Order: sequence, then structure tokens, then C-alpha cells
Amino acid sequence: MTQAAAKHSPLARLADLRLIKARRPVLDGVALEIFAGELLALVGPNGAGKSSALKCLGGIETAWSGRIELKGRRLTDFPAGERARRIAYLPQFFAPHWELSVADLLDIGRQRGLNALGWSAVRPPVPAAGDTTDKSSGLLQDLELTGLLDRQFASLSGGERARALLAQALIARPSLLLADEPIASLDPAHQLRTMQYLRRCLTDVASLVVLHDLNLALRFADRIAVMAEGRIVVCGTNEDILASGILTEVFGVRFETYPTPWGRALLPGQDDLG
Amino acid sequence: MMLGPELLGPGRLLDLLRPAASDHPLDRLLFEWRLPRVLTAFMVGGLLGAAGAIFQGIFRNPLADPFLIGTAPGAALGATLALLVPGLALFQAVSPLLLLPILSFLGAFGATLGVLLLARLARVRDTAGLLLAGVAMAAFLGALRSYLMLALTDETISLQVVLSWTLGGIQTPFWRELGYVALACLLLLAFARRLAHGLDVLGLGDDVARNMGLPVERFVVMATLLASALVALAVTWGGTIGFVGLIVPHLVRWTLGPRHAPLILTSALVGGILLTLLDGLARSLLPPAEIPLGLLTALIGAPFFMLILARRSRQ
Repeated sequence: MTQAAAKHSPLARLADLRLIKARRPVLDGVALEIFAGELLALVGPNGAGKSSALKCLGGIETAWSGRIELKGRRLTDFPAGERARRIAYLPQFFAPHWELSVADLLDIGRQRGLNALGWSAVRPPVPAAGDTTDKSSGLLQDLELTGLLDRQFASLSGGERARALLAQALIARPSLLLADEPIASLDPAHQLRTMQYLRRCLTDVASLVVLHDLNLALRFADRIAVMAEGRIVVCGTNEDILASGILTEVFGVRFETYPTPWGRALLPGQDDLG
Repeated sequence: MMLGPELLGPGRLLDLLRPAASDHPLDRLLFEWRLPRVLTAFMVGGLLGAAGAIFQGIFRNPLADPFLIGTAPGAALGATLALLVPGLALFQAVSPLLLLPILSFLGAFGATLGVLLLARLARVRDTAGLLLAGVAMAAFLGALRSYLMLALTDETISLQVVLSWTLGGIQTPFWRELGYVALACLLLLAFARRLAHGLDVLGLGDDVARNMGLPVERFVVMATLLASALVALAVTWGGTIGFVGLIVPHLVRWTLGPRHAPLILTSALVGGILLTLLDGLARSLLPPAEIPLGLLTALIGAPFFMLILARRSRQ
């Protein structure tokens, strides 16, 4: 997939992206390209700026400088509704303020891109609330949500919540999904299953996923971008990343690699600083 | 229509509504006084119900109420100014339909925005902090109003009028005024319905709302403007009637769920019905005196508020 994708022009491109928060440079010249249909994992130590980069792309942080392009067009040239339609964001912590059912959540997600007065400023128009004649039943089946539609979101298990949120973000068919540690609070079995769901849903959606678990990144991502101190240090295929030895440098830990049926896996070994 | 110092049975009421009975004194009472008053009570209740639903959506908090967060006290302060400040009172006498609502609106909007800013400056995110900011604002504005009342009333201006605002009581407009109020109500409700999507999205959190294309700050100011207009109109015609904006959206949410489109419209309907009934009771429980409506709603609303708090703390 990587070889084929790389031949096309990127879906999204970040160049010299800078963000200053509380007089501290959080992003210090991020450069990154995301290609259609790929799963690009964003890894790096805490405080490297991963979440901030996602928020700039998702239209949540607006005080950035530099350049973000979507399909060759500056992000700032997009009307807010159109940007919202194309780029969906899954936050690290999600807690709706009201007791919404899964169906409510999906219905609100379907209306992604409406303006402040609930009008649609984009073409094709955003379907009206309650419109059930959408083509998203495939998505609901893929995510095994058809039986959960009437359940309250708050009553779902962690794995079910992750799936419901994924559907909420994908139901309006964005071209880029940004996910901030979608599996952070799940047990290993559900982490694995959620990553499999993610993979299954992303046939025509590019995704930039912040992951803490390097092994899941190695197993499921097409490419990995390593971030440290507000910059992308290396971005490449999994083999490139492993061969570069950059992980040891960035995380300050020496990793041992082990062969597994799906490729090489990592275990943090000796503390490199000690 | 049946309720009042003189109770009318359904049969008697129908008799009076027939054109043949038109020279009966009770007939005049019905058409000049009771019917406009019933309609006004319905509209004031509807405005408060819808405003409560919007405020709860803006504050993302089921305990937000126009009275607890300072909006209605702000509107009451504006109304007091319109009635008592000599120059303004003169203008009020000339054009009663404009000045009172406008000053109430400015008071309502200023107070709500003040509470929102206060909460933001203090980085308050939880229910208690937000309500405390509202309570502080309400206490301050209430004190300011009391001071104005003491300082500015004399024999020429009746304290009675201002007091009726404080305690809450439906005014009886002329039919022409009623028409304007009804028109304003319909326009405001139509606009309120348009906010439903934004309020739904806002309930998912600021980050998700921004990503979904909602300009959060601008939307909050816009929704606050509109809800303040609803409250100002309600306060102009009904004085400060507490708890309707709290109870009604709550009841509706229990039955219809938290989506704002049905919530806002149904809250308006239920609020209208509730206040019409309560106003009827207020007029007929202690004849010939009228019980201040705000007193009745507080008697019912305050225990309800405690019930909600108890439920929340159990969760």
C-alpha cells in the first residue's frame, strides 16, 4: 500500500507548522505528508506535540502558523463547514454532557459541517436530522453497532464506546480521520479489536492516529511518524523506523526486537540514560 | 379561563362565550381581562421553558436556569430602570412597548455574558462553580435593584408596580399589545429552533464541536443573545418567575431525551401549559387577593431543584 500511495500527491500536507502555547513552542516546524487510504501512526514521548498537531489539523487549534494543505488547497481557504466535512477528529477523552443514545450520537455526527444556525453550507448538503436513508449501514455492520443503537452511550463498555465514537467520526464520510489515542483506555483484547475495526473502516479514509503502543503501531500502521520536541524526527515505513534506531534516541530507552508472526515487536530493555 | 376570584364552571364559561351573552358584565371580564391574561401566561411560560432549554444547552448543565444564572435578575434590573429612572420612566409612558423590553434585554444579556465570562476567567468548568458565579451575579443585581427602588420611588411612582415584578405576576395587556407579543414569541421561537443543532454539537465538548464546524465562542454569544431576548420578553410581561425554566426542560428531557430540537419546542409548550395553570391558581386560591406567581413557582420549583440535586449526587 505504501509504495502505491506514495506515487500520488498527498491528501494532506503539513509544512513548517508552528504553535506557541503559554509562551512555549509546542509545535516547532512540523512537516508531514498523509496519503489517501493509509494509516499513519504518530508516536513519540509525552509532551512531544502529537495532540497539538492533530488539533491544528482538525480546526480546533487556530493560532498556528505555517502551512496546512488538504488536497493541495490551503486549509485556511476552506469554509469551516467544508473543512469539518473532510477532517474528522476523535478526542482522547470523550464525555458528552447529555445522556445520548448511540443513535443520537450517530445522528449528530451525520450532521458534521452544519453552521451555527444548523444550515448546511457545503455540497452535497448535510442530511437533515433524523434522516435514516443513509448509506452508512455498512459502517454500522462493520463496527457491529446495529444492535447497540438504542443503548445510552454512557452505559457502553470501553470497547463498545470506542466503536461508537469511530462510527460517529466516520459516518459523514470524511477523507481524513484524526484519532488521539483511540485505544488508550482499553484492555489488550479490545485494543487489538479496535485497531482491527479501524483498519477495516479505513478503506478509503486516510488516518493519522496517535498511538502510545509502539507494537500496535508497528503491526497496524502503514507508516510511522516519530515526533519529539514539537517536530517530526523521522517518518517512514516500519522497517525504516526500526532500522534507524531513532526510537532509542527519542524515548531514551534501548529496545529489544523480537520476531513475531506479523513482523518484529519491541520490548523496552535497559534504560539508556542510566 | 374558568379560574379567578369568581370560579366559572365549564357550562357557564361556554354560555358566556356565546355572542348572545355579550352585554353581561362577566363577558367583559372574560374578554378584556381573563382571556388576554391566560394567553399572556401561556406565552410567558413558553418563553421561560424555551429559554431554560437553551441556557441548559449553552451551559451544558441541567441546573442552569434563567434565574439562577443571573439572566432574569438582569432583566428585572433593566425593567426597574425603565420604570423608575425619571427620564426613562417618562419615555416608558410614551412608548411602553419598546423601552421596557429593550432595557430588560440589555440587562439579561449583560448579566448572562458576565456570568459566562466570570466562569471562563476563573476557569470554572463544574456545575457548582458556574452556579456560584450566577448566584453572585443574581445577588449583586438584586441588591442594585432594591437600592434603585429605595432611592428612586416617591409618591408619583407606585412601588406596587415594581414590587409586582419582583414577586412575579402576569400582566394583562391590551389586545393590540398581545398581538405584538405573540408575534415576537413566534419569531423568537423559530430562531430558537435553529439553535438546536449547535446546542447538540456543543454538548459533545468544545474540541469536537470546533472540529464539527461550530464556531464555539460566536455560537455561545449568539445563543445567549437569543435566550436573553426570550427571558427579557417573559420578564416584561410576567416579572421574575423562577424555576419554570429549570423544571420544564428537565421534565421534557426525561421523557423525550436530550436532543435540542424537540427539547426546545416541547419545553415551550409544556412551560406555557404549566404557567397557565399556575396563574389560574394564583388568581383563584385566595380571592380576592392574587398570590404572586413567582411565589407559587418557587414553592413547587425549589423542592424540585433539591430533588434534582439529590439525584445527581447519587449518580
